[in-house]
Amino acid sequence: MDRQQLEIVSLTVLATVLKCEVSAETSRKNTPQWDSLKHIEVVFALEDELGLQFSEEDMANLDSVGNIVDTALIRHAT
Amino acid sequence: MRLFEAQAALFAPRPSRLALLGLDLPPAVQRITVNVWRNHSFESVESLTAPYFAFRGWRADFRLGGYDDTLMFSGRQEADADILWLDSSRFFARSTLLSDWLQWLEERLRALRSDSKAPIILATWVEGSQQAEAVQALADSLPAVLFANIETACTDARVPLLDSRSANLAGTPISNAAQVILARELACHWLPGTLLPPVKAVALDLDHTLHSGVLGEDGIQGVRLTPGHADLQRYIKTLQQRGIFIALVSRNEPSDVEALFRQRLDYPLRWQDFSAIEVSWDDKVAAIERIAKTLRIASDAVLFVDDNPGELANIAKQLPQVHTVYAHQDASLTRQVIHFYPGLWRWKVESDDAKRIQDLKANAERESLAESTTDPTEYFRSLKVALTYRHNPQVQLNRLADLCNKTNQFNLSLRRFNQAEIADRMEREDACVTSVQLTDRLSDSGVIAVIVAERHGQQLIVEELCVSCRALGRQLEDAIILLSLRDMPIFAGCQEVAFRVQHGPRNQPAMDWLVRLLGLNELPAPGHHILQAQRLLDFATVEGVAFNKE
Repeated sequence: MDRQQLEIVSLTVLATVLKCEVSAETSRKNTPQWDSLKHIEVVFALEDELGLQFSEEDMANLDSVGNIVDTALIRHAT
Repeated sequence: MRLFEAQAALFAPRPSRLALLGLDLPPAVQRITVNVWRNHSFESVESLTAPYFAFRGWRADFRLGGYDDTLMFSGRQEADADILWLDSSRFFARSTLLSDWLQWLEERLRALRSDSKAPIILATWVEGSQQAEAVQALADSLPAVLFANIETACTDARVPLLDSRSANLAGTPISNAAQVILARELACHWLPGTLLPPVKAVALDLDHTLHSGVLGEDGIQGVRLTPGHADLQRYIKTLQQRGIFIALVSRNEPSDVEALFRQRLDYPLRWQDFSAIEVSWDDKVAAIERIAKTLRIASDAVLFVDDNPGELANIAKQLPQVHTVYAHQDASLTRQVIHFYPGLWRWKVESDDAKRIQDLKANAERESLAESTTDPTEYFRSLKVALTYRHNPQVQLNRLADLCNKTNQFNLSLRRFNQAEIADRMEREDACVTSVQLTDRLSDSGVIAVIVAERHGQQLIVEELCVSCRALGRQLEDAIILLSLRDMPIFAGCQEVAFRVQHGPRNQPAMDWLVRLLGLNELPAPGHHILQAQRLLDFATVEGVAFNKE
């Protein structure tokens, strides 16, 4: 998957789990629906859809669309 | 249609979290409330249960307690069920022995039980089958406590139970994949198996459901038994062992279908496996109604499986109480949908459940005998009919609760007592629970009646009165009920018997019986209806029937 495809998947996951409108600028800071309870659901759904497993450290840092895409690119490359 | 389209996402071997959360299903028509007492996170499982509840028209409101390893149950409110959602590793991490933990758990379960009669689901995991058996034994020793073995559910689904990677962030060591599986178990098996009336029959279409192809076009050797269809047929056959009727509903030539089952020896299902067969070019709505009548069950206990959305829509419109499942081209998916259909799975299969199918077959012979015999005494003698009465039989607790919750037709007060409520009355000195078992030379019908009564002054109040449809139509209702009441220890000295009546959608047979007993001119109104105790004392036993008391 390239960056654009990863972003599409990420936005789909966030919109479905958080049940709100999202964009490439969406982050935990600017989205009140993205609380700690929803965060783990976002992480799990991303793992399912991207077919990868994040490390414990990664999971805590997946706090914006940009970070999700960056981390997924690294994970796909390794 | 939305429900049928959702089946593929809901019942995939490994459902996708995103697909589940993205489903848009019709709004719920029934709500339940469930208390969750936990020491690890439940929230990410809870969100996944919603589409499964919606599939059956439910919505569950979970009341989550705070994380509490001590299980204080503080601030408990009434609910339809209580769940103990326990990460057992938190106890064993402190070097707690299994025996000590079980002793503590029993004390906490008893504390909850003393505060509530709602069913309790103990959802946890332990190491190995021996430990699981010990937890199961604990659950079995307490009324209406059910052990949901989380590890078994994950092993069966071939998903890892634990994932240390996500434990800190998720607040639970349960893995992502396991959470999806457990949400489905909870919403399709564990809670419906506790709270819903059971599905008693699966009525199956033939073409494109039990095989691939159309019998009338492809011929007997032309229709294909794919591996998925063979697996589906084998699965359907196992339902019989759990006392679930199998019926065939097909638009075909009857002779063609009979020849198919005679000639296709590779079909796991045989002609005689079907307890009811409706093969014709007639309307399937009428066919389903006839099947329910033949099986002596209400049509809301029938699950209809068909590959034709038009047929399913027609049934849903004209018989909305009938459950419907869409049969997929991939029969293994159909099998999954049936397996997880809420209300089909039960916590335990009692020996009486398996007797149901044999008993129905024996009914044909009984009816034939009744038609050829005009003397009831001779009829009973020739069948060697025997009724066995047991007061407060603790060992039958599960069966008696099943009867209270499964019986719709001959159910006078519809109290729907659960195990805990029945156990409570078995222990009280002012109450009595009586079971009646019916046998004859053709079959053992098992426990066919439960009567729960309480003594209030000079009055015996019948709080629950259920007679299984297996026993109806044999002219034994008076003997079953009146002799049970007369023989109760708390009947001694009573002046009156008060029957509690509540109207339901299908309990007309119980009303009709009371009308005859009391000589009423109209249906009894909801409330209590009095019979003088002398009527019971004067009741003559039925000649030709053996009466046993244990």
